[in-house]
This record gives sequence, structure tokens and C-alpha cells, in this order.
Amino acid sequence: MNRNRFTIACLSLLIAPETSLAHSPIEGIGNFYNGLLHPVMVPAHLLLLTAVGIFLGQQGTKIFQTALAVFGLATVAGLVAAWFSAANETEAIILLLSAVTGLLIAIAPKVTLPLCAAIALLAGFLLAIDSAQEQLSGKDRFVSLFGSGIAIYLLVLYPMALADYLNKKTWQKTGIRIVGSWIAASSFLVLALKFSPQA
Amino acid sequence: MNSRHFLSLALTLVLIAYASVASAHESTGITGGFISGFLHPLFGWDHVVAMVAVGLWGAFLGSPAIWVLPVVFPLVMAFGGALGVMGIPVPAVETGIAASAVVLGAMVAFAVRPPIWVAALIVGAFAIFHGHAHGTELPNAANPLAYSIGFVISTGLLHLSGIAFGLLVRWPAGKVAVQTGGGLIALAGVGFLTGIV
Repeated sequence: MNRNRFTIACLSLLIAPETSLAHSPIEGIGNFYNGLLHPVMVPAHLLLLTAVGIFLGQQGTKIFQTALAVFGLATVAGLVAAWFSAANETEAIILLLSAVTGLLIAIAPKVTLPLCAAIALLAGFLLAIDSAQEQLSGKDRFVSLFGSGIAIYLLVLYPMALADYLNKKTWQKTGIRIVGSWIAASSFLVLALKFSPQA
Repeated sequence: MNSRHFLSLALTLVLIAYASVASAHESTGITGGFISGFLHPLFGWDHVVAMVAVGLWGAFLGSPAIWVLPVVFPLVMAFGGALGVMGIPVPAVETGIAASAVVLGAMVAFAVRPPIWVAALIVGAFAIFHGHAHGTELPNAANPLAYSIGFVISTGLLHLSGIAFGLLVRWPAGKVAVQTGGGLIALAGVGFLTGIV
């Protein structure tokens, strides 16, 4: 009887566990599409991409052209780094950057090019280095990261274009500032949760 | 019962114990977190009327209050939410939420026009109570970030509802309608405070 109990206990333990992944892939769609969907499936990434896109769009064409080039280069650098090693615990920094960028959108101060470039640089690099899927390696990881790189760049362009287009009338500028305050508030709350004793 | 039968029975029980519910429209993880966060402010009438009052007062006061109040509110609400998340108690949260409806509704009803910083201070003070109520739910959410995005957007949309209604203030009859709306919100707040509603 003791042997039976032992067998049952072993079976129970074998059935119960599931793979624990920070960023779970979707099965059956391939590495490229998993990489492509990665920034959409990770809310912190989507939040920062929206924040940076709106922030750059808010600054006007002259500034965002340079900042966008910096963002692209930083993304490529981050993807290369992610190919060799996956970053750990970057979500808190991503959320902090979202909160700061959201606050800047809400306050809408006069922003200089170096500040915009710095935010674009940090955002591009952090998002890219945090896109590595731990279970992949070699060519599979490269394909997945390639997909993530495309998505990261496209997803920053959409809010940027929208913010630039809507940066004319007073009510449109007001709407953009309100969205900035929403981004800052959401990021700040989850940051608080990360440092909370209840977490 | 021989050992083979016992093993089969036990194995069946183990498999039954680990079976999970199959839902056609699953709402867990990111989706579940967002939806529960989005619905949280909408399922409390005290939250709803107070948020509409913020937008209403902002529109009533005109520029820059029309954007300052809806920007200040979520930022200070996040601070209140952080207190809730950290488990730092704020006294009389429910009373504060009900009082926010009374005060903000009365401001609109009596057409009070304080300086913008005073209006922001009043709205910000009440935002702490609302944020604390949402924040205490955050650690239990399926996805805390999606939950927080949900309730912040929902709160903002309630502000926009108030702003949209408040824009009627441009016309004389609209001004009466807006002030009446403010009065009704204040009365609802009294109802929440006394427990009648």
C-alpha cells in the first residue's frame, strides 16, 4: 500500500507543474510571429512604446526625426545584446521610464533634443534587450528577435504619427496630455506594486 | 480492494482534481486584468458620479481647468493607489469618496469659480481616496499592469463624459442643465454619506 501511495504522490507532482516563462510564447505560430507579437503581449512594453511614440510626436518633426534615428539604432544594439544574453529584471526600469515619459507628455514642457534622444535611446535599448525569449537559442532566437525589432519600431511609429497629426488644435493637445497622465499613473501604480511588501 | 483497483481509483481522482474549467471566452491574464480594472470604477456609483463631477467642473471652469483637472486627478489618484498597494491605511476612504461627490457636485451647482490651483487642490485631495480604493484591489488582479491601465482609462472616460456634458454651459439653458446635474450629484453624495443610496 505504501508503494501505491508513493506512486500516486509522484504522479500528482508530475501532472501539476507547468513551464514558468517570463514572457510566454504562443504555441504553433512560429518564432518570427512570436517575436512580432511580443511587444503587444507584454503590457509594460506596449505602455512604453505608446508613451515614447506620443512624446516624440508631441515635439514636432525636427526633433522626432533625429530621436527616431537614435531609437532605431538603440533598438538594433539592444537586439544584438539580447541575442547573446537575456536581460533580467528590466520591467521596473521600463515602467519607470514610462512614468517619466508620461509625466513629460502631461506637463508638456519645452524639451530639448538631447533629452528626447536620451529617452529614445533608453527606450529602444531596454525594449529590445527585454525581448529575448529564454527558451530559444541560436537561429530561433535571432528570428524571434528580428520579429520583435520590426514590431518595436512599427509600434512607436503609430502613436508618434497620431500625436504629430493631433498636435494642432487646443482640444487635441489637451487629449494628448490627458493620455500622458494616464500612462504615468498606470506605470507608477505598478511600480509601487513591485516595491510593495504585498507583492 | 486490491492494490490495482486502488491505484486506478486514486489516479482517476487525481486527474479529476487537476481538471480546469473550459470557457468559450476566457478572461484571465492580460484581458481579465484589463476588464476587471476597467469595470472597477464603473460598478461603484459613488466613483461614477464623482468622476463625472470632475469633468463637469473642469468644463464649467473653462480653460485651463478643463485639462488641468483631468490631468491632475489620475496623477494624484496613482499616489493614493500606491498607498493602497503598499498597505498604508488612509482613514475614512469610503466617506472621502462620498464626500467628493457632495463637494464637487456642490461646486458645479453653486457655480463656484476658485483659482485653478485651489480647484486642482480640491480635486487632488479627493483623488487620493479614489486611488486608495482602486489600489487595494491591485495586488489581487490577474495582471496588475493591465488592471491599472483599465481603471485609469475608465476613470478618464468618466471625466470625458462630464466634460462633454459640461460643454453645454455655453448656452443659457445648458448652464442650468449643468448646474442641475451638479446638484443631483451632490444629492447623490449625501445619499452615499448617509447610507440611503
